[in-house]
Amino acid sequence: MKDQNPANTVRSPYLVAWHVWSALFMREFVSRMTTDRFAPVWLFLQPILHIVILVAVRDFIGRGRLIPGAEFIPWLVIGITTYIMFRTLWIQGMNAIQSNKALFAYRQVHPADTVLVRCAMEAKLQAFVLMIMVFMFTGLGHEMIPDAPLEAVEVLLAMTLLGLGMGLMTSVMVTFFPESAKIVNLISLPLYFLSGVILPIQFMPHGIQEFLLYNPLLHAVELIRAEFFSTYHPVRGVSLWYVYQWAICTILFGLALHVKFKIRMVAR
Amino acid sequence: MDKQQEPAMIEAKDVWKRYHGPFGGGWVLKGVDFKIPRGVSVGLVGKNGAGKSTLLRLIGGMDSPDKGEIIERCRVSWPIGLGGGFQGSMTGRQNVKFVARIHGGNADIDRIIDEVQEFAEIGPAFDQPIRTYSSGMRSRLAFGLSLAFNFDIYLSDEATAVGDVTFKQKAKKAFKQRVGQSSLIMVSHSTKILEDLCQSGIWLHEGKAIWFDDLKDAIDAYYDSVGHKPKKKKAKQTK
Repeated sequence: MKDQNPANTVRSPYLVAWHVWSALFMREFVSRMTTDRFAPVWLFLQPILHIVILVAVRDFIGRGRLIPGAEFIPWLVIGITTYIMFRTLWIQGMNAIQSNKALFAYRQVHPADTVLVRCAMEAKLQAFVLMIMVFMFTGLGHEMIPDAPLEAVEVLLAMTLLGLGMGLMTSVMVTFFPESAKIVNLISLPLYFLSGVILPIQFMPHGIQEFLLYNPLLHAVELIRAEFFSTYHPVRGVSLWYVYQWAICTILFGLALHVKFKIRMVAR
Repeated sequence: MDKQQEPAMIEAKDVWKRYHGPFGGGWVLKGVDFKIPRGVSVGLVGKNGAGKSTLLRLIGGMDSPDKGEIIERCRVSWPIGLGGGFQGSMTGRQNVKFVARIHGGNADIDRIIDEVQEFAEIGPAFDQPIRTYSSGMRSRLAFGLSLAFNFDIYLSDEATAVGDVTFKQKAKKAFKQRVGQSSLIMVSHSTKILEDLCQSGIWLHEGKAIWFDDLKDAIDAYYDSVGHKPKKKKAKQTK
């Protein structure tokens, strides 16, 4: 009887981490899906409504509808979905510590675990949303099937890792300065425009383009479009390696912050 | 004497701890030293703010000392208390499942749930969110949950304070059954429950820990320091 008890066997550190991750994953999934009765619907409705409204606005303004080498609506949809994927990962990862605070009473649960698990779960959900979008707009008669699906996955992975890195970094920041969450939300709006999600950067002067290319999101958004539509010409100078460099740096820096401030975050 | 021969279960070596609040913060623990031998249950006494909960959190691994170290040679539970450990938005069942999973109990999750449910006796509230619980219900669940795992030392931070009579009886019985296998480090302001469950005592006074082999001496020293005579007992005796 005693030997059946799980606390009696000594587990390896990797197994402990795995147990924590699987437990957190289920917990996160349940709470994400049951926060309110609308939650599972909202997950899909939010990006769709977002796109519908933007398409309507662009239709209403009625200019700049010509994107060289791609159909306008699929061009917009894939850009927005990719950007929302990044943003959701970032914001959800940022808030992970706050919403799992009570669980740090158990010494095997580390703050970094909650961010990692939440981003992994969110990436899965967002991949699902993306697939639904692709099928939905294909069904509506748009050219939405990616021409280079594996390369597209590569870009999406870079975007996911970047979201995770930003989540790891800002999660430490908001734990010590809760006010900074407001600033992060404030920044995400101009980022949206600067990443070429709705405004084609190709039409901007070269001097400005050069400056905007410091933003890794622009690279990712342009690249995913190029992988989806083989005839599309992305902004000159975009590179996937640049996005990965950003992702690796933010993840390493975020993890370093988590190692440094772990005890202080738990003790709060 | 032979207890002293074998290495102590928990050893605190010159532990210092302070908190940096917005208004500054002094040292809570100033060089705490003690050894807890195997199989001895300890009551922690001291006035409010003496650092009892801090010490418990340090032993439970939720915080680390600024100076010194705490050596643990056994399995120590998380601090069972009123506050932490439960996610308010999740139901009792979901919380129990989570804790079972992080302790690697995926295989016998049903047994753990049954055990907790049986101990806590909170009925249908087990499937309600924790935030709807009264403090008594919370501590019933917390105690039941920790007892479902075999730890060598259980840490209790006033977990029994809000319980009713039947719960206190039950908790007492559960620990009496485990005498010899596991012991308890307990913070409580109720001397009665301390005397029932613990043998030795640590009195936290002005940032130092003073070890007493007999809990009664610790309580007496504590009462002496605050100039308080245990009135209740005398009143009872005169009746």
